[in-house]
Amino acid sequence: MTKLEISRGAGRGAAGLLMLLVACAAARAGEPPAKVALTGGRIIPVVGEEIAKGTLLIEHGKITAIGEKVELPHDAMEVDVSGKVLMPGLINAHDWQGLDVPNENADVAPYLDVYDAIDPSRLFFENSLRDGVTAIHIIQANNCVIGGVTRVVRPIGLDVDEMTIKPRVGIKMSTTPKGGFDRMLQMAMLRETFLELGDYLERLAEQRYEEEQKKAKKDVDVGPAEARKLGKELVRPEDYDDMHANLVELTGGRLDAWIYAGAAMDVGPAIKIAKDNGLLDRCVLVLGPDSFKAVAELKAAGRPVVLDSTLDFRERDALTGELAETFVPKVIHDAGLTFALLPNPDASLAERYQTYQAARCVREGIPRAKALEAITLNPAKMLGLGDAMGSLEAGKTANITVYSGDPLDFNSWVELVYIDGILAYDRAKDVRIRRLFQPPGADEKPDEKKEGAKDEKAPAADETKPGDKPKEESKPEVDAPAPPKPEEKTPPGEDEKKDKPKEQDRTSRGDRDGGNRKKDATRSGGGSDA
Amino acid sequence: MLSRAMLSTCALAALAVCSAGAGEQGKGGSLVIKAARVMPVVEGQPWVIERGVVVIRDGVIQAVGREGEVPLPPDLPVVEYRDETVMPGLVAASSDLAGSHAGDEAVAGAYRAVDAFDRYGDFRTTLAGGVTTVYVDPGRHRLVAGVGAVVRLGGSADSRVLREEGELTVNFVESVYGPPRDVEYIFPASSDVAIEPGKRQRPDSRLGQLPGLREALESSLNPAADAKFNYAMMTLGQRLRANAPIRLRADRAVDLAQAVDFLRSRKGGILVSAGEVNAVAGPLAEAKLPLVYEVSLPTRRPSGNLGVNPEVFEQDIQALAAVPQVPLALSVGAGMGLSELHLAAAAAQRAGLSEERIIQGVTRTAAEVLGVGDRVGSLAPGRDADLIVLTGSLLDSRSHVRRAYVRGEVAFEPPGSESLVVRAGTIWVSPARQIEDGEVLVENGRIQATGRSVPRPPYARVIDAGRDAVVTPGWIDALGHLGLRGDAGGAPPDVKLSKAIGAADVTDRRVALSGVTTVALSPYRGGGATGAQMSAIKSDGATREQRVVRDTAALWFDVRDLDPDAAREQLKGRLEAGKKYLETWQKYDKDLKEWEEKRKAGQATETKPAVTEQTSKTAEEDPLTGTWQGTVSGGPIPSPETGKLAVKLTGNQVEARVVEPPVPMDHKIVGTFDGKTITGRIEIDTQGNGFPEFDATIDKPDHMTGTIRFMGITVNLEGERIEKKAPEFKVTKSKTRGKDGRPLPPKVDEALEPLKMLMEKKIPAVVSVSAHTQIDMVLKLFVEEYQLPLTLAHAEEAFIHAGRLAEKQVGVILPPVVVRIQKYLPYVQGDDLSRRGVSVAFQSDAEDGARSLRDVGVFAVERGMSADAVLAAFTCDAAKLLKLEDRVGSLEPGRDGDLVIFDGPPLDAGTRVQRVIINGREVE
Repeated sequence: MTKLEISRGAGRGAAGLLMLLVACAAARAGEPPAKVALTGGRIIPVVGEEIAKGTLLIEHGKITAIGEKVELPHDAMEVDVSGKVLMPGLINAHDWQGLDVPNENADVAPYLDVYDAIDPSRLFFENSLRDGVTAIHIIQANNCVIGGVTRVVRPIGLDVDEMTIKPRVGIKMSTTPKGGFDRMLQMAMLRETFLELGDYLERLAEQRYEEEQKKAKKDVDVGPAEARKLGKELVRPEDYDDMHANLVELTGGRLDAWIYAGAAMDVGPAIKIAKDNGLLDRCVLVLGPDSFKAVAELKAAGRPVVLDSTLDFRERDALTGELAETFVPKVIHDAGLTFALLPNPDASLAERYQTYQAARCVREGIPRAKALEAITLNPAKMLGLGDAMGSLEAGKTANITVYSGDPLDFNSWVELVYIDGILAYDRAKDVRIRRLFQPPGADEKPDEKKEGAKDEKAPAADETKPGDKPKEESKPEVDAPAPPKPEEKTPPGEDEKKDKPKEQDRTSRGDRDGGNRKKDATRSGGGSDA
Repeated sequence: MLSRAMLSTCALAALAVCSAGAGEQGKGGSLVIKAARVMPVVEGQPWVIERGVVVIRDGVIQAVGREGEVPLPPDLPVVEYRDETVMPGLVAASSDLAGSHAGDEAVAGAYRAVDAFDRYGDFRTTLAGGVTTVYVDPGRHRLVAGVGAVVRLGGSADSRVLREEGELTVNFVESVYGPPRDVEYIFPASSDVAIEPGKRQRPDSRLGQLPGLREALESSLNPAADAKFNYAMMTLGQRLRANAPIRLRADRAVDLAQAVDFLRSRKGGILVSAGEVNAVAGPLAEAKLPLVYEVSLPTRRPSGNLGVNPEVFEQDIQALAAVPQVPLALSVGAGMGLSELHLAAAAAQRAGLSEERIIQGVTRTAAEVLGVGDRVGSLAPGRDADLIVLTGSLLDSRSHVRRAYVRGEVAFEPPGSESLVVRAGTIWVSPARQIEDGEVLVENGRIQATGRSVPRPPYARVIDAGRDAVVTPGWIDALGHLGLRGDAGGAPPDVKLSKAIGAADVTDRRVALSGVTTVALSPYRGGGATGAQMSAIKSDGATREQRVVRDTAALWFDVRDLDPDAAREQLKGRLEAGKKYLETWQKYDKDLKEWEEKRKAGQATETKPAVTEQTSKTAEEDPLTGTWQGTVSGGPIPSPETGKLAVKLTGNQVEARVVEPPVPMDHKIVGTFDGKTITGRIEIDTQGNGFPEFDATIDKPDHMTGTIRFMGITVNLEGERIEKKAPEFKVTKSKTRGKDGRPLPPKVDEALEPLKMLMEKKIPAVVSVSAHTQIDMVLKLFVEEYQLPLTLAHAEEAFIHAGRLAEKQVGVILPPVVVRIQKYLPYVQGDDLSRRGVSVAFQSDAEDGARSLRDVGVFAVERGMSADAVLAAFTCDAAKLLKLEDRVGSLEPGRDGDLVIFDGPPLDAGTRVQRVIINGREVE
């Protein structure tokens, strides 16, 4: 497993110890180590060539250098990731799972913001982190006409503000009818919303003109049309009411349009509504299973698309009943469109992983680089974060997922996840996984646990070795030596993230759950004893 | 120079863009369609163009006319429909394809039916009914429901919408009464702003519908200055100001009167009705208002007691028939699917509407009423190539759509259907049964039905050959060599000629097109007394499976050149061999049956091998074991031959090997010894001619005499024991039982298999004979002695035994020469024999010479044979003689779908073979 080595400079003894102390102190204070070097791993930067064995340097939460040979600053903490694979943290382009309820009742509700509905304690976030996702676009689900404002968050943090990466990304819309609606009503309502916005802005301008005239103690001496024209410049941002403020942001270019087109026939209207309201260059189309049939229209529009998580579309012939299957990403890729792949929360195990979705694309003939982009760089670009994340490049945020093997190999684990240069996840200390792989009853007593661990050969010897790092963990479960795989040597963990508040929260939550399980295990164990 | 290069680059780029665009946008197809009939439905054009042509380029019709009168562009592919009618795709002038919108407003101009139309939808089930263009209604549940659209049901997505925003739909029907309350949702909800109960909307009843409409139209045109934003009314006002026409639906006389008045006051519009229009026919005609009339036939199930009133439909149509100036479009109403439009239209005939007005009402007039008459609904240059290919007249309910084209591209074609219906003035089933104006249904390669009218499965192809046409079963060449490609050699009895047959080639197809669909295939030579297998094959087919009727159809012996007595011996030898072979199999079958019964009964089936090892006490006491010196002589052997044999007796089983001279092949002499006589056989490879058999008697100690018989040859055998020591070869005892006591099958002998089939009476023996003595011998041997199915071939002197032949039901395959001179007089054997009750068949004794068989038949008729007898000889009798009557030779259900369509009496010299169908597929 990851072997943490503090950089061995010239003055190894006292200086090293001093630095260790400094590092510990920093860790205790909740500050991440300023400089971390991940060395010896295979680096898949997504942009640019793969590096078979290279070093990635993180300084103050940003990637500052990447290459086969990187000169490390003397104060960088070196983490040996030999044999592992480094990837940009995955980005989930479209998910409502972080919300308490996926949809709002109101059909036209641009006044909403997912900020109010994100629940940081959702298991979803923990799972996302475990799967190597470092940024999630939280957006309301597809059952709407016009939805609320969306947000990009990290899967860690105690509250929404702490989690937030980008607060206001876009507004959700749908040309596929909301439940109980039909397309005539859906489209009429969409058109009405934007027409009404125009009407509202005119009236507001008139009102503002009259107000200003009144303030200046002047008579309103022009007709309504003239007043509307004159009042346009007088409208201040705070004048917009809640119903319209976000729509003004949308049409004004400060919010993007995320339009759901759940069927092929909804693609054309989605593009048209975007075009008619000047949103075409700022819209992302979220597709349904058969929307790919409108690939000609999609190609003409040239906008990025988010694909439905069910990648293969099956259809029976109306006359013969023969089953035909289409692999949707291939059609989209062949049309030259930028696309993002989503995890499928409802599917069986495999499709929940974006890496699996990407692997399927490779299997179906999409170049590997394109498939990897679909879970990293493409969603980053769609979210306006293309300069900040989505690839491993100097200057980008240090969101890094470290895999035990090739990311598209289903046998690979996510070993480590760095978010903003901070170690946010370490599989060796993943409480849930540890419980999952522990023999039943092994966690009843710490003593027994140790014994159980001793049965596993290699790590026992290793962990008794004091190691070359200080022991300053306070969490008992972090100390517990229970590596997921016996052959992996797991010295007790990375120190630098131990006392991060987020991490604490996560592990303490894990502890809570672990506690519950412990009780269950005890109960069941008692039963078996009896 | 540079600029030119740039120019050409630009041009290339533009071209690339264009072609890429064409691929996506669906430019439309380019082709020439030829059809038996074309109905252009264009004013001033003939109603039906026989042998018509439609030229289509890029999805647009370029020319329509009679074949030969329209220049055909050489670059376009030609699609020919020899039996079908081509007409404009049907236009359904009303539909609820989009459903009803879910909005609450009683009066709204905002809803567009086009929004609910799936441009990517698969409408092939509707296209299968011939409907290519449809008016989509936004709903009939609100007073003003929105605007309709005119769409196509096929073609590329971007070309499907013909009219995005059509007329404003107004409904004067009961379903609009009592609309939901109009609730205004307040945002943000607060204590300051009261949430008011929804406003009631008009109309509550018939009384309110017209005033409600007038009020709504008025207020939408003149909104109050301070009125709140109201999208529904705003769009309504916009549409009215843009002079959007009104499409008004009314089904009751009282509503219709209001509707007509209203439309007249607006000086135009379209009236839609599903009944009682007879009440307003007069005013309608006066105002020349177009009418979309919805026909509701209770086709799916009988209507209820208080359901639609069929009399109203007839009254309406009668009234409309009387006012030809009313542009009338027909559509389907409640309870009918869009794909039944042609049925609804045909029903209007009952009430006396003319065929022209009906067809126009679902094509040109309907398109004009919908405002797309310049695009679809008729076949004229400049119109879109939206057309359908029908198996017959549109108003014939049995007709169905073979293809639907939208913009020159196939939008519907039936899924691989193997069904074919052939119609003709005469269906010649057999000499005893002919059907006037009958039909034959062929499905999956087999005849399913024959009769005056047969079922027409969906998507079936229909060939209407016409009143003069005669359909007969496919003809049979009873002895031919098609496909042997001049290989005039013989064939040993284990060879199946069908193995040499592959996919049909030009030569085969030429034979097929002459009407000969089945050939009983024999080798040129090699029948002899040994026999050769005959196969039955079809003259057309893409694979061997399709072509082979029967691998072994008959066993052919040719004894024309043999002396009757010698021939008898040889034939008898063969028949005996076959009989023995059959018996071993029958024994096996019996044993197996017994074993199975035993096993079923739960009895022990494991039998220990019978101990026959009763080895004699001493070799001296054994009269056989030892080395023998044998001599064979006589028969065809020029001088006696001697050799040494090692013989071993085990129980009563004798086994022996030839020791000297060395025998170069595997051999085994086996037999049984009853104390005095050995009978057995010499098991050597005889290329499938069976094993030589022998018997020998110990006439004195250490001496035996006997005979060896093989293929009718007999040689003498004499042997003397020269040593009594037991020989050293290993006695192999063939196993007859499997592990669990199951009897093991005997060895299959391919050469004897056909004989076995003959013995089982599964196939006939075809024996070529010439002299009456040979006929007599063959009759005696095959029929009287062995009771085998027999057919004579050639048999020039058959007339001598005609009585016997008729009595024994032995048929004759006539020699290829039809008319001979006999005793200075012409003699037609076929006529003579058939008149005397002997079934006859014709043979070509040639390969593709079979294609002139019909002329031979014509000549036979000319020489006096009855046409029916000749036809029977070519079909059912030939099939009977070859025991193929379960497959070919008849048009009765269950037989292969082999049909020949003649344009007149089949055996008239002037009659042409129109078409040939083999296994349900037309021979091209």
